[in-house]
Amino acid sequence: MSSTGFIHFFTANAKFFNALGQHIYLTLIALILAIVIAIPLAVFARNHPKFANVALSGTSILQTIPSLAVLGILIPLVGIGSTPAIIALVLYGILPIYSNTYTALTTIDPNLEEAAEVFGLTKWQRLVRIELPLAKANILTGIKTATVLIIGTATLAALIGAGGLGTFILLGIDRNDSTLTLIGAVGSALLAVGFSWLITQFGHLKAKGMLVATGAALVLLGVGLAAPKIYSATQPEKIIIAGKMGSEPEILINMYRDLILAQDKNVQVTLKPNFGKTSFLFSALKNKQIDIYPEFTGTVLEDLLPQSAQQLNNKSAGAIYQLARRQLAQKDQLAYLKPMAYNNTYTLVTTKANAHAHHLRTISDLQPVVPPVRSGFDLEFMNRQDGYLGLAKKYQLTLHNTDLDPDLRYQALVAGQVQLTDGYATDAQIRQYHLVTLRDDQQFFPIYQGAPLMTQTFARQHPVIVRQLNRLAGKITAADMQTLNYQVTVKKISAAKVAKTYLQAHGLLRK
Amino acid sequence: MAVVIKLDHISVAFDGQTAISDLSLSVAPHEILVLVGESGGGKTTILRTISGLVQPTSGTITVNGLALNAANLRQIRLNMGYVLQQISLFPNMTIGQNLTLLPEIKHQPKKPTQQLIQTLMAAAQLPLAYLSQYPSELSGGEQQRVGIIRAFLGRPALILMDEPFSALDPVSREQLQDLTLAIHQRFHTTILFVTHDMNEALKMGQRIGVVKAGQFLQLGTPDDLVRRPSDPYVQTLFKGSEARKTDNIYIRRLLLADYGQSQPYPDLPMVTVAGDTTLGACYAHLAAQQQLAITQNGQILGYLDSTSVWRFLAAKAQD
Repeated sequence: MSSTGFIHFFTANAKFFNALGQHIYLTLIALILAIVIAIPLAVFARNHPKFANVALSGTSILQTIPSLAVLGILIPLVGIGSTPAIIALVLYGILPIYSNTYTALTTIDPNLEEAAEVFGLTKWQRLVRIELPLAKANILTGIKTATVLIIGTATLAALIGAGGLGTFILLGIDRNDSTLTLIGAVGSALLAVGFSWLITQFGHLKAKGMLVATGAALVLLGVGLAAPKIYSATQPEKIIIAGKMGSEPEILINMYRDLILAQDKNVQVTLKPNFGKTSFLFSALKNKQIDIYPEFTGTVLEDLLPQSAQQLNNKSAGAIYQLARRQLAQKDQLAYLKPMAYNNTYTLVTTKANAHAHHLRTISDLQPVVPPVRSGFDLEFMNRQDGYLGLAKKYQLTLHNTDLDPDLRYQALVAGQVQLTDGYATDAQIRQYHLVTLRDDQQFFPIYQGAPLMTQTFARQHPVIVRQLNRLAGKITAADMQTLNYQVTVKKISAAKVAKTYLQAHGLLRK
Repeated sequence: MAVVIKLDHISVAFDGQTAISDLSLSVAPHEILVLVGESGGGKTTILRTISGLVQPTSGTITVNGLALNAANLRQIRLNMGYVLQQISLFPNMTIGQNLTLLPEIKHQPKKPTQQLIQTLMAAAQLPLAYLSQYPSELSGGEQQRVGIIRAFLGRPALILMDEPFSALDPVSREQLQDLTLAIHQRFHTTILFVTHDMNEALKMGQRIGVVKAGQFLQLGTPDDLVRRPSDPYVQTLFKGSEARKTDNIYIRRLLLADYGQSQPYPDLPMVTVAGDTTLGACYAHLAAQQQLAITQNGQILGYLDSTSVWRFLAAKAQD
């Protein structure tokens, strides 16, 4: 772990506390709902043994479904964001609370039950004054188990745009920055410990104290929920711009915000960086949960609106963009603004020394080199038809190939263990290690140009925003983007600052 | 004549097996009626039927003038104390909370309840500091004393006691019998008391019903049962218990009844004996021409010689 990582953490601790807040919010809501569902369920089940068995198997089955699968099932039903996350977390929280409460209630000394009955207590009085207090310790244990489970599972909420400490974990994996992953993991572990402690303290309270504490927690939660809404009601129109995982989308959406705010003072822009994977963002946009996000032309045609390979072959960047724009307009009533200059596609990368020694400028230059270049490719790239398999056929390459972990490719290249590797055209490492990319002279790799995507309705209602975002069209070269990525991921400068500096330097924004 | 409990031709069966057959009973106000008999004879079932835990297969039950049915059940139960064989204080509540639970549910005014608690705790020789402690911090005997106080505290017209002392040691048992009788003296609450211990039945009961196979073999005063048993079974039951009873008397009782003296007898060798030693255990000392120094809590209560014990036995035989 690097010391700069820690410095980065402390400069970015506002982000950390924001994520922590989201995590606590998700946990609390899910926990309260799980308690509200599980305890009455157990109380009912106690006198209905058949139902009890069904409920127990039901909740156990829920527990065995992998959390990712639950999220996947929920997205088509309730969209993305915190709703599906909370539903999934509640489902996980129910079992431990239900089974502990049920066990505790059914193992109360029958003698005491009989005494309470003969003394003339009503069913409700028996439950509240005798049975639940006797079951208290077991119920609290169940709630603790549920809490730890929920806090752990809530890290996955980041995948579907619900935020939380999982954002740090995913970002850390994405950027190969173990410090970030550690911050997210340790943060959620500490949160679990803290919650367990609070629940234990809660268990020591008398009945009145419990009511007061529960009331206080609910009021706080209510204020936390209502405050942003009351606040936003008095605020100008709110525009939400989201981006996928990684530094590049984060830089772009910061640029979008700066450009919008430069001309339109009546809107409030909220950024949701690291909002998730392609399909989540696409459905969020269609469901109007977000307003804008940057998408690649290649991704639109390959993943979102799959095309036959021939249609894409040998098409120019412009033709590909037009195809994507038309398809999005027809099928989903989306407006796809003009793309930027850089093409963030696969590329082959080598060192300056290698390029000089073997006269390498294009991929075709690889073919005559004898003996063949020693190359190290990511396993996925090596086995894809649109990766090395297709590439070797097209260029008739025979390389001396080994597979490499994607995280280690660049180090291996710089250390001289391999002479050639695969990468993305805007990778920060290209700038970091002063590497050379080989031009795809026979246009094998699909073209990936980035452009803002929004609904047609939104575009019609916001001509100023459309005009401002179109100012990025044709701007930002691959080399520019490598530098910007390098500043964020290696130099640890904030994406907001990097974006603003670029816009000002290129006359897109007044200083 | 006023009647607190009236059972009219009650029968109870479990899975076709008769537990009680055609049993009738009236319990008068202020009465202590003891049901005695071997276990499995049906005496506890009678109690459970009166408390509504068991449904009779035929016959009617009236408690405090109310017919026992689903509509009246809660009202009847709220006006009925219950002491179970198992100590049934609620472990999640302090002694104080256990005591005030029923008065609270019945919305009885707080101040008189608190005063009554203090009076009854004193009568039961329980320190008031116990009120803030939990049942698990008290001994079994102390817990059952609280159980008895709890039953009386709601000032019910009727208290049902189901072998309340059978799980206790002989000393605690006797103390609790005395406590129950003392409180009954005070409140004249009607008590229906179930036991399998004939000594206890004779001590507690104003009337005793001998139950066997779900029916009364005999129902009468202790004197009736001992002197005029209607059945050989009843006769053997109480004969044996009378004989045993004398030997089981605590030796300090003889002092309380003024059979001994406060100064030692001259010229007799002395042996020290605890106050709760039974009479039967002292015969050997007396046969060896020793005098007994009766002690309690390290203090000498008084002295007994064999002549004083003979005087006691002679008076007992006259009874």
